[in-house]
Amino acid sequence: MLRTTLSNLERVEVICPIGTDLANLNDLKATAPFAPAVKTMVTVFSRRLAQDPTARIFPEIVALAHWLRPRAILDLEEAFRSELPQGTVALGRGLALHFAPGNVDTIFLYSAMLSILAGNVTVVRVSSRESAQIELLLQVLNNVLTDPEFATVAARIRIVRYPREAAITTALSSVCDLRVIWGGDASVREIRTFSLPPRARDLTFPNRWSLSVIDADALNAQDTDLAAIARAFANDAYWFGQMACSSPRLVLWLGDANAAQTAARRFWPEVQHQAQSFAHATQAVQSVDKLVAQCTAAINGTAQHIRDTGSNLLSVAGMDQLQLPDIELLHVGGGLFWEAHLPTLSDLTPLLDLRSQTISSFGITESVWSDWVQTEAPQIDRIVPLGQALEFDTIWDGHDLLRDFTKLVAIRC
Amino acid sequence: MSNTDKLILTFARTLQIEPSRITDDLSYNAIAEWDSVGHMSLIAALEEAFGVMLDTDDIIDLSSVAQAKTILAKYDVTF
Repeated sequence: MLRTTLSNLERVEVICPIGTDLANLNDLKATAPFAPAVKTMVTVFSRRLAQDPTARIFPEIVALAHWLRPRAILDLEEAFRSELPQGTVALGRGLALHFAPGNVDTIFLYSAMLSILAGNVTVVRVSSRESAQIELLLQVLNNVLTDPEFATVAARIRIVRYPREAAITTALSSVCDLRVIWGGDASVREIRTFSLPPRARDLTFPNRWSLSVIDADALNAQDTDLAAIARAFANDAYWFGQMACSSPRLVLWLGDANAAQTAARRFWPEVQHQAQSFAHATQAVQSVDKLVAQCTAAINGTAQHIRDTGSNLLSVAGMDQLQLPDIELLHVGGGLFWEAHLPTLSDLTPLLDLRSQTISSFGITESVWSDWVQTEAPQIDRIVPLGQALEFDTIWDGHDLLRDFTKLVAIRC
Repeated sequence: MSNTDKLILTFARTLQIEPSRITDDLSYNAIAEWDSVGHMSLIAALEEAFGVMLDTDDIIDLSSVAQAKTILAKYDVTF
């Protein structure tokens, strides 16, 4: 059935592996996770990316290569195996269909690589938007997959592009066992209208927002390392134009009010300095959008202060009340931050909502966060040190991706 | 080529700086080329050059050329 359904999809362009189509995917079954040939292919891909001179100019690609390096894959496998419940064997789910997001160009490969490592036959739809990063990644992956050594792996991967066409999404959805939808509320809503077979499941990644929480006293105790802290924050905020789901938008100063003021006064000039290295990636229109958002917030009472940062790259709006600005204000991007004083972590809990994802934090220990999560059950999925907000993790939006990409066979004899 | 030469060459090629600048006390973030992105490229290049797989703690600890030697020594690379 799959063959007849998928072989008619002429408007689907398979961009990797070059020269293939979707017709024979139904001959393939899920396998056990971490098949040796798949692991080798993934690590060879990582090496080729790391050695590619062009890839160097794209830090997100260097980060992907790093994430897929041989040792990391080994660690991933070990962790996965050690966490399996007793008396179970894991297998891939079958055909996994992934819809990649438009805001971060490397996500489709994290999703695809984890999916094939999990043992799935993997189809990924990437957006038709032009992107030098996507082209480069596909070029390197295509090169790796032409190696006859990886023929069996190549047969299990299809990266595709196709125009928004309901018939295609319907056909693909009708034969998949797992559908992974990245890319926000609109994509999730649209793709969910296409039904899945009864046994299949959706894994969705809707819109999210993220924040930084900085312990004011801890920051004020820093002297020489202030630049490094600001650099870590700038990396979190400015990559991807502050439009990733884990890019911090709100900055909260934990501690007493005076310490908070001092910390903010010391922090922002350093951030302004560090943000200069992102000047080439920002456009004039973003400065205008940020100014409009700040003025809107001043008029409607959201913000009471607009910090004079001395640069259009960094915009900081101060709020006297601990509150969450409207989502349109929060999501402007391009280096717009909303700051407020946070007396205690308990005051943070009511501020969070179903969309809050990542807290990047400084000066607050793991045990303090852990206690807060257990005591207050806040709406949050991820807490990381400043500088690691954008690092991909197999635990994402509350899901353990490898576990969700596989199924468990219970063997109780 | 001695391991020291190989190390210097790997640093120089990856960070794209003159081999003469690769001294024991050269450290992470001390030069623009050895930033967090350069560090990831450097780890990949060192792993490739010396046929090792560095664990996460070692990657974090590898914050100077001297440290690189100490850490690689744990993986039986002698200098």
